[in-house]
Amino acid sequence: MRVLSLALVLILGCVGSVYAGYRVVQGEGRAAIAGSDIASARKAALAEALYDAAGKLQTKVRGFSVQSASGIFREESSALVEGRFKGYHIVREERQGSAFMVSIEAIGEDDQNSCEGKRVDIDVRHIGVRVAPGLQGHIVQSVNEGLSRASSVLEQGVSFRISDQRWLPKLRGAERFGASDNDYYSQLMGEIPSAAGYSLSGTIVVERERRDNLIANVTDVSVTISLKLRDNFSGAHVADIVKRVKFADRRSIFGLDEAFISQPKVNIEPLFDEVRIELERILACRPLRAMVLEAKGGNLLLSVGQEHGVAAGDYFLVTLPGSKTNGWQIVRIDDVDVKRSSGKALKPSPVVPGKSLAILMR
Amino acid sequence: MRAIGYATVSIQPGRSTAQKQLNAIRAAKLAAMRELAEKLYGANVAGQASVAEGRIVNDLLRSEVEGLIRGARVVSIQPVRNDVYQAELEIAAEEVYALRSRGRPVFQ
Repeated sequence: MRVLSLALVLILGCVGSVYAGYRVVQGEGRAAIAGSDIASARKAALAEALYDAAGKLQTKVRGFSVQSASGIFREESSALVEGRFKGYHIVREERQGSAFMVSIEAIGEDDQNSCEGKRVDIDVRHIGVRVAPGLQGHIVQSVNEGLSRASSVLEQGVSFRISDQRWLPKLRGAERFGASDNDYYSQLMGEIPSAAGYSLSGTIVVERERRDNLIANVTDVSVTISLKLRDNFSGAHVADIVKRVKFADRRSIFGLDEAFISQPKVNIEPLFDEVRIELERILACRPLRAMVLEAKGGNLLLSVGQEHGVAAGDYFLVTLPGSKTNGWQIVRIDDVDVKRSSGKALKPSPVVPGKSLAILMR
Repeated sequence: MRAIGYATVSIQPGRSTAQKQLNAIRAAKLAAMRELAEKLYGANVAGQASVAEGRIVNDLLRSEVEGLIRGARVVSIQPVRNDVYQAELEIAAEEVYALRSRGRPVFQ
């Protein structure tokens, strides 16, 4: 049964949710040594330790008892342990008399509270405006004014912080060689990029639509915002956000020169409010990531701080793909600045190199 | 939040004393876990008592508990007498708050 539980835990470990948070759990297991078979006892103790650690992630408890005047005559309790692990390492293992003890530390996936108290970086990059020919100047002006206020609308987001970089011109062909606009220009400007965050760029298209009927001349102005959300670290495309709104333009009866409406009032701020809500939906439950800016010995400087919701005592998980064993490290945050934080690696190995990606474990 | 559970060694299955002791520890932990669940979520209690000719002839009390426990930490596990193990578990206050705010779980 225990072997089945262990197998279930390991299988579930492979199908974890992308947006789950992580937490460090300790587990301890003991097994009796039958004869001199220490190897089997060690295996059983390790399975017990994993079971113990998984129980700290989640245990469903059920029980019932029936009691009569003569005392309890039936009592049953059951515990169903469910947990998903990203990995574990053995902290201590030793023989203790007639039993073998194994103590482990494991990275468990945790779906609770992973959507609160964190703010990821979004760099708002170039947003171009394309206006159909023949549209009135005041419409173009209204769109440009709305765009200039876009940052202040997006800044109201609770799960992300906005860095307005629209003044940075688009770097041609950046996608081809895997570089981001931000990396290139930030080097020119001497700024540290929010490489563990996201970027938002796209276009606003302003068009006129005709919807004439038998008696009336009806035209509308439609404004479409098409934005692409990209992952700055991998360059991957995360989501397309497309929002559209129509404004009544000209309304007149055929044969009459007089128009009912000829000066549409175009306000695109509500569109950016919809974009903000969409960004909240996409990003709120994603784990907060940080770039390791400096790594000296076991001391690490991370690219996130108080503004991102990081606090002293938080743990970050650094996965190091490519290494054969112990491919992960835990960093405990000791000092938190406004935009930076520093901490120590908890394990002696593996050594975390600079520019690694760290994930907040909550 | 803390809870204590007890289990007897001699009634446990196992071929050696060491195995019985380890099973008793596990049973004591489960009993403590059950007490934690009762403290967190409460228990359904049903009782029935019958009296015939002024004398209790039947007195039954049934209690049921169902709950989800996360982050339970072992405070201590120790033998209290020759044949009994005691396990003490605790859950941190913030975890208690988080579990309570999720409400009572419904299991399939």
